[in-house]
Amino acid sequence: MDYLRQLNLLDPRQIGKKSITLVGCGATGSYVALALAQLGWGDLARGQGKLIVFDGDKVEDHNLCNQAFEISHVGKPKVEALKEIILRKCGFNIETYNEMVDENTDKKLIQSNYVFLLTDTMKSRREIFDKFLQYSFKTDLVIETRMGLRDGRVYAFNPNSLDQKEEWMNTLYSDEDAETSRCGASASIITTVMYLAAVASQRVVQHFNREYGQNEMEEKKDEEFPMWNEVQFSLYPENYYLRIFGQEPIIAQGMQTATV
Amino acid sequence: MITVKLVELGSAIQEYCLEDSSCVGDLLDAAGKTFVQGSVTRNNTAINKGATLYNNDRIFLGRATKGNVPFEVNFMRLGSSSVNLPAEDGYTIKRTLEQLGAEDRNKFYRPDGSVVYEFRVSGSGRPVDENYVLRHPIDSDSIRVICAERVKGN
Repeated sequence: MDYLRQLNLLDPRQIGKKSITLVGCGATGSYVALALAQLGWGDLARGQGKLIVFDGDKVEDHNLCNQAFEISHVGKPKVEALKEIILRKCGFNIETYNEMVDENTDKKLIQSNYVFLLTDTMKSRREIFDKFLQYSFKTDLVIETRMGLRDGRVYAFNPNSLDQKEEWMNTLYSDEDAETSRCGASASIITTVMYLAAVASQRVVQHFNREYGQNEMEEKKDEEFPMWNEVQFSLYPENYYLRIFGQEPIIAQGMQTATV
Repeated sequence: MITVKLVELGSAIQEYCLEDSSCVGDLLDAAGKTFVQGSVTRNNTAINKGATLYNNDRIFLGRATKGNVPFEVNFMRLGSSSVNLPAEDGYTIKRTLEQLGAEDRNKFYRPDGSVVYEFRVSGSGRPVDENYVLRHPIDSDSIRVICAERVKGN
């Protein structure tokens, strides 16, 4: 792949050994994985960081309208389908595991520099964090997403910061309290999925540029481009709720902003 | 003409169009209310019946006997319209929402009575539930409560 057009924002040659793990590659995860691969993660032949994906599900018909998979993938494990899509599109193989993360999973595979928690339940996110991430000194950033039909949330925090960890835990609620559709499943539509995946992937770009980028990036300026720990959005109508943990949140409605 | 909001506990917030230079007494007449000394406030300050009103004023009508000054709570729902309700120091979010009419209640409660949203009160990013006790803001007569659905999908 020729990354020329993105070099001003992210130079893949600087990625080095910075690895990324995705736990879950359904709606959000499949598009996040695709975006990260297109950014350069997983291109090991060029010495770029690993892209590791876990998921134990298979592609079903109802996944086609809101996930990156194709009709020919129905019945296949999601990770295999994703691997195939990325190989065809980007020309390299990513590392995949056709299994759910549990207590038997190798910690080293989860404890990457960037870890995306993209599972279906609130319970599993908490369990994976407790088991693998709360003492993972290697991990710079945990990115956790939550999606409704037209709403989304992206949390990005340093698991080695006690304050940030506590703030994130305060945002957790039970699966029973979470909103679901009439059929009991989480509602989902492609426009919200792609928006959520873009915001989540951008957390990595922003963090990487701040911590490891070697070019003169505008994004290093905290005051101009804050690294939000919490982004909540609604796409219809467009509202944003943005927060750096420990600070007062900001809401934005269209072009108007106000401190809340 | 001037536009003035009347914020009264237990009632929906009403907006009145009045002549320029109208006074508190004119507003109360329009609302069918009786003036009670100490019960009418603006910007956290008690005002009398003859006080001149200005465009976009918010006039709070409280209970003089208790001495509490009501304030306005702006429930802002991400992705939806806002709802403004009066409250008094010590009201919970739940008690404040109980002032909603039946139609508006459906926006905040499911048929089984459970609350649709989690809440974040002005100045704090921490999510709270409907039992959170609201306090009168020190330097304002309104607070904002952000209401967001608890989503979990991926």
